[in-house]
Amino acid sequence: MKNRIEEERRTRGMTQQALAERLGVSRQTIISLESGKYNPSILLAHKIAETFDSRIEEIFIFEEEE
Amino acid sequence: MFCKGFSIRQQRLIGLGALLAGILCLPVALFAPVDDRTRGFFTGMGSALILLGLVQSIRLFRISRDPQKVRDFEVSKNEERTRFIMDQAIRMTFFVSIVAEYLAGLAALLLGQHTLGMGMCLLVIGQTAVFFSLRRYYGGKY
Repeated sequence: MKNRIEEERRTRGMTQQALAERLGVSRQTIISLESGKYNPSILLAHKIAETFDSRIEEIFIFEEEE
Repeated sequence: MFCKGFSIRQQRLIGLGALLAGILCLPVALFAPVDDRTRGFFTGMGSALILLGLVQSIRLFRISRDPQKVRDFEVSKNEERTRFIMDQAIRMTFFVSIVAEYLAGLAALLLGQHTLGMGMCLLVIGQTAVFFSLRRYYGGKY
């Protein structure tokens, strides 16, 4: 699953550390999320979308074959 | 490493405890009037504990020097990605253990160690039975 976390974070001028602190996760988790290595739970996805004032489907791009 | 849920201070104490226990094992292995098997046990156990204690202590020393790493360490104890990684590691450990036990049992049977071979095979059967029982239980629960 692709996502727009890095793009949204950069648009808001946030560092990975700042986003990690805001979400209550480690910086390593942000790195894994941005690189697409780790797919978050629905709770974390909701939190991320809320942080960027967006809907989940605007941040996470679901692909049919997944 | 092996005790993710504990604080840095607790993990440091566990590391030092392992190191101390390892150091205490070595004089027993070297100087106590014991047979070769016991000596081998204490040498292996002592070396493993010293290695574990050293690795843990060095790792925690490096983390505790950087406040950012300390914060990440504390946060990562309870976050979902850590649980996911632990689940993956446990799953793979289970799989590797089952295969290793099965191969060891088979080797023991082929080498004429029937009691050991049967024991290993029964262990594999037991673990597999527990796995399928738990799968059935959790299948009903969730």
